[in-house]
Amino acid sequence: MWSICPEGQSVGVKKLLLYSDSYAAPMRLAGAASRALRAVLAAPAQRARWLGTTQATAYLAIPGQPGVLAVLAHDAVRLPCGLVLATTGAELPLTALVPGEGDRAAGVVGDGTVSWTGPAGPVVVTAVREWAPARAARAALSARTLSEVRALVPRGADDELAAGLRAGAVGRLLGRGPGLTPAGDDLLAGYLVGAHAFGLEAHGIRDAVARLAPGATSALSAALLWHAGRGECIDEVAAFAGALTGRGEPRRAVERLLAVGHTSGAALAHGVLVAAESSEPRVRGAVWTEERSDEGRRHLRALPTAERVSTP
Amino acid sequence: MSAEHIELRAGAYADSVALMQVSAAAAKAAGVEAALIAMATELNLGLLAGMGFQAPPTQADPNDLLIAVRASDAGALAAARDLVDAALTARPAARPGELPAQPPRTVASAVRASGPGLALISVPGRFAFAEAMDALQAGCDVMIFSDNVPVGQEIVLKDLAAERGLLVMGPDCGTAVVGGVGLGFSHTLAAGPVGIVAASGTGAQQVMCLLDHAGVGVSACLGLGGRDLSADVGGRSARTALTALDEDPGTELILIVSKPPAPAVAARLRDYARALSTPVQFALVAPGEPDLTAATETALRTVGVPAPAWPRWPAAGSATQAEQTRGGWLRGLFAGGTLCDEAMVIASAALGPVWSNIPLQPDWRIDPATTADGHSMIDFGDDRLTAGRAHPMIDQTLRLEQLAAAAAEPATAVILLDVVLGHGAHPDPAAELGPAISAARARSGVPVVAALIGAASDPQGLERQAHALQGAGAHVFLSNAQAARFACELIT
Amino acid sequence: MTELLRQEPHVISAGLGVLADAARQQAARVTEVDWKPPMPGTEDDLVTVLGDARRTAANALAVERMLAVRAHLVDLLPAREALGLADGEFLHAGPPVSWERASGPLRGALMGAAVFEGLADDPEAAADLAARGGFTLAPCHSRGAVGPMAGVVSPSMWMFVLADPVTGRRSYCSLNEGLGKVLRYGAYSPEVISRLRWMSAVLGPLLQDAVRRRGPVDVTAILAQMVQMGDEAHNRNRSGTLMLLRDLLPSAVAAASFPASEIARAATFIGGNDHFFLNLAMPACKLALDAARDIPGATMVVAMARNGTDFGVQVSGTGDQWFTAPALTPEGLFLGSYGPQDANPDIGDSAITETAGLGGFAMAAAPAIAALVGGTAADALAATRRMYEITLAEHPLFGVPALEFRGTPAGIDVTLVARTSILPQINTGMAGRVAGTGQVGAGLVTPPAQIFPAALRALARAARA
Repeated sequence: MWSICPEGQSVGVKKLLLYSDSYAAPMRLAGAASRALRAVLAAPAQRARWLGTTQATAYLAIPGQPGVLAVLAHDAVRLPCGLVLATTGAELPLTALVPGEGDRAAGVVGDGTVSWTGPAGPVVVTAVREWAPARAARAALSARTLSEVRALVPRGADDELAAGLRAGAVGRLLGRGPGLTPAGDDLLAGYLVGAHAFGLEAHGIRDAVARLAPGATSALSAALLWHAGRGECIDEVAAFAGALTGRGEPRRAVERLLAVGHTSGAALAHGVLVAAESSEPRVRGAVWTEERSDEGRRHLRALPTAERVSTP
Repeated sequence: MSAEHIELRAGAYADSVALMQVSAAAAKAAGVEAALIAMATELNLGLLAGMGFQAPPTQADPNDLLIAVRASDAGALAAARDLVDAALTARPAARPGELPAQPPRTVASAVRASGPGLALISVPGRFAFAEAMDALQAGCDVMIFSDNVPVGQEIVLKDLAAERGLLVMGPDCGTAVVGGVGLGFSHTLAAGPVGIVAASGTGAQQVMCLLDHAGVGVSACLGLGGRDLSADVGGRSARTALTALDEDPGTELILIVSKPPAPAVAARLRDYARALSTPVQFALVAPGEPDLTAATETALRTVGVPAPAWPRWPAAGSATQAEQTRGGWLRGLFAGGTLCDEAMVIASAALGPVWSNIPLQPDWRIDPATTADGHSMIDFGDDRLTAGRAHPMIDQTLRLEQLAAAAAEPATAVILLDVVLGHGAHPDPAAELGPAISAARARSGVPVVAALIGAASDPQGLERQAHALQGAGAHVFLSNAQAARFACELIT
Repeated sequence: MTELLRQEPHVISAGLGVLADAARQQAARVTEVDWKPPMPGTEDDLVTVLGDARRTAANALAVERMLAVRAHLVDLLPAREALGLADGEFLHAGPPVSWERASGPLRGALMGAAVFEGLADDPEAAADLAARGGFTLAPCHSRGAVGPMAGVVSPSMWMFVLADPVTGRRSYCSLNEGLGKVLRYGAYSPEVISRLRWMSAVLGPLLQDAVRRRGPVDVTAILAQMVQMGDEAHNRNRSGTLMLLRDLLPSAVAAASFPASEIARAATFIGGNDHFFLNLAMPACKLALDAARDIPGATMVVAMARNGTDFGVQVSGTGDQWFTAPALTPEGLFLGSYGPQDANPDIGDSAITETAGLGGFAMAAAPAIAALVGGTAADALAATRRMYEITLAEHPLFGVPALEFRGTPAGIDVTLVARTSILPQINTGMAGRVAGTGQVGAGLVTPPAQIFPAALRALARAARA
């Protein structure tokens, strides 16, 4: 059995793995870690707690920020707090490595590895390489591609949420919706990344998110919101934002983002679009047109004009 | 009574490095006097004869695998042959109940089975085009490690790549870092703000290792190959690489590491660079240009990091510098071509003409086999010295011989060499160099200066190698430029 | 612009193992190519052909056209009508060949056919006539037809007529006589001749009537089902034969255009010959491949055929040119007390099935055939998997159950054969080398390797032109 060790005490935590009743030779895996995890991996060993898993992802709560470390199969979406393996979810399903109930709180992170006790013995993942999380490049919006992309992204069920976002009602959005990353959170995350990309002043929302997220939503979602506040995101969001600045193929960028998760992709896309819309200065005689959707909702659509935006 | 076995296997193939490893393993086996396992090319058949073997039983074809073993008796011969067979057929067995895998035989097939990616091609140069075309047509970027790819083929590949928005690194690209993975002769580095575009492998390695020591990471190192900046190719890949790094939000500074490009190419490249939003710094290895260490320091300043004092490990038990200074010639023995260039630029400014097989001026050319009557620096990685043998960063044999020979010459005042660590290089260069350096110094007391190109995470262990070389009596520097200057100062 | 810097690397390594190993040690995902040098002497031609800007699109078009063809059996007609064959004209399997160079089974078949047509009184007289140049010979392929084994077609023989409903193009094949001592194995006894007479007088017209009444039979659909039933359409055709009977018999019986006894005799004849459907499988494959002919820059093989002496290959980008070399002799199992010395070199147009992604290429769907040719079920799977390395496409209609219904490898690429040295795997019957012996065994064979560098050279010449 484990001897219980208070959270944060580093001495002896790693030794616990060796003295478990079910001692077996550790399964050693190697992975590539996001730069955001550099500090926690380089630090001496600390407690990590198993949060949950799918075939291609395993989430552990870790001390400090980002607060979550995601062990990812090679074909999983590359989260900015990820430690990516060389195997796919089909080749090595992470669901096969889930620790038993009693072992879930006894993971360890630090000294270059993250480890826990799986069903067949200890699992040790060593970070042998580092990568920088994706970020959207700062660039000016292209009105032409903005219209093109808007046409490709289907109007979703989160119009109401989008209205809340425009109104800055962060508290009402956090944790709203089902799933590991609720739609409200994804909307906020997309908005924050878009704000970085399009040079939008977003201190208010960013600060509110930083303050409220940890208590209001899942640990993973809070971690991804923390990343978004720094402009860090998954590649698909960066490419989508890039497409709105005229960089990269819009159709492909939309396809790739919408394919992420069940509804996450769409919500992230909407968040980025809200940021894009908010970035278009209304002062300089912007031409907006009011439209009605099929369901009778009114929304504003910007018409491209040469003076306002730079052409790609 | 010696027992000998020679055979030719048709249809059997293994890559040149793998075969050298099998040969080496067989040669080390108990009772084995000589072993050669290689493709039956004219060169290798010549080697075979030189090792005292009989000619093979049938007409040899260069696509046949030649296996020749001589042992002290039949028992040792049989054991050695088993060892060779096992090494040649080492392939993971299918688990029971699993279909034995059909490994992909072409890059096209590999992409179909496992999805697109970065194709790393190191087949013999005359066959590289086919695999590279497969890669580009399947939407993959390519790194061509192979050399001896005709320039016409290089241009066709790069034009297709430009059409598809893809990057061809190479041909003759030995070094790259992508996604944090060090490819070829390379290092595993932290992710950081400096992007490198390199027409020089060891030049890029020097810069990367200095940056690493300063705590500054690299976003990517994109190799161009040896000919991209020539007039013929015109910098096709350079433009793609620059754009890719410019568009990368994580790259704050782009460093171009190269010998000076053809003048027209250089001008176009500067224009292209000026139009990018990311600052571009040219680090060229040439007389009149700052050396790579100085260039790295400039880069560090640009990203807001103060340049550290670069590490040096003085020779153990050494006399003072004054006691070591003597008259005579500087003998440089280099594995990295650009490192040799950089050292020659520094040495020729300080000491005058430097003879070389890759001279700075045509009239300073020398055949590496002859002993120069003057300062000299030899690049052992040059094509003519690597025919039929592995690159000197892997196989130090030739360099060790020259080290001993130089130490034996009374006219030698100082020996300067580079030791390159990292992926792809010799697993423990100091283990061979150390004794050779000790022996050289014991013989004549000649000072030995070593530039140690390595990063903290290198598999060989940077500190361990430095201490071993230092203990053997070499003055070790992380900076090649500092090593070269120090060596020059030891000459009166 | 490249996405190289925005993705987790997947390294595809061809060449030095140490480079792949170093990448793996850094937790990179690595796929290694089991690379070997191409066939000797081909590297320059490979560069020319692979650098041909037309090639990728041309091959894609060839594949698209081949895969789109649905072959329907629409009619039966005598060769005189269907192919315009005149007296003294004979078609044969494989690339062009003269009487002088022809092997035993082909000579025997020509002799028998001449007697059948009344051109000679007996086989010996027929042989004299042939030696004196009294016959005009041409490959079946040159007239839109294919023939199994000797594949001899004469004007009075009835032919299956297959059509592509989209383009209206046609292909043809004679009716399968059965096993044992038959014309296609070079037998020419009175029994053989009288059977041929019955086939032309009764069987042909009877089937014609049945087809015309019933309407076209979708042969491609039958082939697709066969692959799921353990047949590969070259050496195993039993389920196809039975499905054909199922399709045609009811309308033949209902129409009663012929006496019941004749219908019964025809049904017995067909039902007793597992290979009957081969003569529909082959022209269906020919129809598909003919659609892919003559596309400039395409390196796809559109015909593989043997005449008992030479093996011939035709390629889409080089028109009607045959690339030939002496045929190899199949290796496998022998019937009765026959042995290797009894076997004739490879013969027949039936390799058109492999060319289209069936036969040896579909062996994984027909593991039982492996035992017949002396192998194991694992060998059958391995054969199909090997063929993926030299083909351009996976046939969407022919799914192999054992490979999770992956489509069979279809569309042989000359450049891939030259690069990998993997030769197309053919699964075939063996004819006795003495005319009239019949089948002596079954086995595996490949085209002679030297054909492919020759075809590649011609493609290179065409690319430079």
